[in-house]
Amino acid sequence: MILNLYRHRNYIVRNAWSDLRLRYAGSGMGIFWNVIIPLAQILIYTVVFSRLMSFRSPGMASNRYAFVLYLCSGLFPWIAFSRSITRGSNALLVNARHLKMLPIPEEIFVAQSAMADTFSLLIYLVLLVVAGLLVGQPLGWPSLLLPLVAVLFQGLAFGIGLLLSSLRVFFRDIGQALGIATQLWMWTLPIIYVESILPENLQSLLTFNPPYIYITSFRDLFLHNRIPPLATWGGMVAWAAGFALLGSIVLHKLRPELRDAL
Amino acid sequence: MNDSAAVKVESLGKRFKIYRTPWGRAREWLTFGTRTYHKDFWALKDISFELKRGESLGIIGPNGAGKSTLLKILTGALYPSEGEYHINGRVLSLLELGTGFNPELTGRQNVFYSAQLLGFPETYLEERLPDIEAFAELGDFFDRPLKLYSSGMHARLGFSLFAFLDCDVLIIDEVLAVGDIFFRQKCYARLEELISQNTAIILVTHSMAVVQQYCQEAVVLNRGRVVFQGIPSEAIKRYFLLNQKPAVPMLLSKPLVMDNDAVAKLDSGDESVTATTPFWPPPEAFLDLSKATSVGEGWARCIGVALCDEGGNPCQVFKQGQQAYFYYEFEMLKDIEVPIGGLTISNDKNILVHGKNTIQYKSEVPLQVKRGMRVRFRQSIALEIAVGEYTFSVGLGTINVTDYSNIACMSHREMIAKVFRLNHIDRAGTFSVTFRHGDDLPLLHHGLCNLPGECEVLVDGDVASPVKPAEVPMH
Repeated sequence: MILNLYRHRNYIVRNAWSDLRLRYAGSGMGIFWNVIIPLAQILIYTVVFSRLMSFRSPGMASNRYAFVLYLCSGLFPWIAFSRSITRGSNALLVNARHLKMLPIPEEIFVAQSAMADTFSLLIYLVLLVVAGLLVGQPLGWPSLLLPLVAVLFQGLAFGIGLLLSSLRVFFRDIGQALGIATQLWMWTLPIIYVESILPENLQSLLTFNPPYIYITSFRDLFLHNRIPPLATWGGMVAWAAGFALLGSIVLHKLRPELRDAL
Repeated sequence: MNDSAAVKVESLGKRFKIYRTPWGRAREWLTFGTRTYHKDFWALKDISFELKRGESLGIIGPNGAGKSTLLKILTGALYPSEGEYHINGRVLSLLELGTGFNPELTGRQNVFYSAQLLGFPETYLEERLPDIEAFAELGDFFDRPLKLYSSGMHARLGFSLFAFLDCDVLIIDEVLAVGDIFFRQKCYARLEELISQNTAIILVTHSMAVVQQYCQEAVVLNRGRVVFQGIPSEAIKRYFLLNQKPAVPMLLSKPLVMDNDAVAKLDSGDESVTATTPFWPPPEAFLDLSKATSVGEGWARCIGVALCDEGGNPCQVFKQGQQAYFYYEFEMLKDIEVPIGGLTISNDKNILVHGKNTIQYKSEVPLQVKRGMRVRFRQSIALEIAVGEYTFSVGLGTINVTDYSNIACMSHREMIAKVFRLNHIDRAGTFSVTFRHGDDLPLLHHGLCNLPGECEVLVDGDVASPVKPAEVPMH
């Protein structure tokens, strides 16, 4: 699988980039919507949480924008992650025309959609860092590692997307169920709320929730100027690799009949 | 597999599992395959063939015969359920013509991306780009987004790309039906070039003329099975037979005991030559008419229709200009006066190419045919018509004796009004006209049909001194 992805790397990157461009094709602002939308989100959260509601989470610095930065540093990766899963799981169905005609490996289409959202996540992170600087968040060198976490996180999204994409060809209902599942999933993670409001026993379960480790790494790097310990990096790699492996095993098993059902 | 074999297919089969609901598959998984909730559908079964380099194989068959499934397996898009196939080298399929194209990108960019998708490196493509650009003849459009292309331009771009990528096996699925004639001709010329460069070609088409001209071998598929495999001309006959089996049992069950006198009178116009019965094809030559629609109102019944060559052998593939013999026979269910028989020939676009009846031939006819008698028609036509596929229909009509005697001074419209149609067999049969000998003899004419005529050459008002091609002095 890795060989296949490598062989088609140019195709994946190029198509991911054009995906991103075409997502808003036909609109006047075109590709800039990729920037405008997260920017608008940051602004809205800023206005709502720092001006109107003046919400301050317990145990946070006195910076009035602290919650906004906390929210965005969790929400943006999550948006990219969940979109990547949703679109990735649909990638084989969307590209059915190619798959039925061409001997191209299935995984490159999943990789393409994960790649597109990696690009948009990187854009989000740049905006986040800029916004952080503007509101006086003390940023340090650790923030330079944000893209690496982004890539690992999207690696997990690729693995889950790959797993679901081959199943979704046979069971189309997965698409509908996924919409609900990702919503629920978001609330099992400390993205919009703060971890400390959860009961103790639930907090300890968070480690088993794959995205958790990535979200905390984003925040460690961005909010606390702290490089996560090696074990955390190992964990991130392991989750991503584990799901990619599982996804490719399932794909391999289903491959002989996969395209018949497209 | 020896070195010269480019493709080798061994008892290949493809099964599609048909589930009533998607959950059937899940239930099968849960029982670890001990129970089945699907029906098998074998789209292909027991397919074997071998193709050498520099040769081309035609695959023909009616719709749904499994041709496309076979090609998709050979391309690598689908996995076979049983059997094996080996392809020596790189396979490209024109099935994919333009499927990888992105409408937002220009022709040039699309050529690059598609080639990369097929695994060709960028540097290789840069070498080939001038050829591709020149062949496609898209002009400025080559650098415009694909969404502005017409469908013909789309096809041009696709074919040009594939025609210039190196491959050992090229699979072509009916795509050459697109584009204008000039481009099609270029495509075929390019195909011949590829064949001479030792590329093996698999051609799926409904055009029998193309199979006849380009293929060394042909496979006839029907319902996923190989019906015939061998030389194209024979394959074409088998293909036509799929739709029209010679109806031996049907005809043999009704022995042809008939009023020979009446027939002889018809054919010769003279009672004295009854002894020499004119040729009439054997029963097995007659076509199965059970599928043809018969239009009539109980006046006459069609007994049989046959199509033969000069030798009286049943034939469905004719060379351009060859004489075709149509035989058809009706039995009267009521008494009629002057019978009129005729046939029409239509091409694949349903254009009536030729139609002629006994009045137009000024054939000699009896003035009365009694109930229970049979009338036979034997019509010979030189097929000086375009290469392609044709259908023919036969019909029987009648006109009364008084009108028949006045026919010379009637307008066409008046005559039509007097003719009473008795029976008509629509699409009684099909045949195909092919090039005379492969492609080494030129066409007799261009266009739908040959028109009688002559041409003289004059130089400065004088008739040129007559020299025919064969008499040109050698240098």
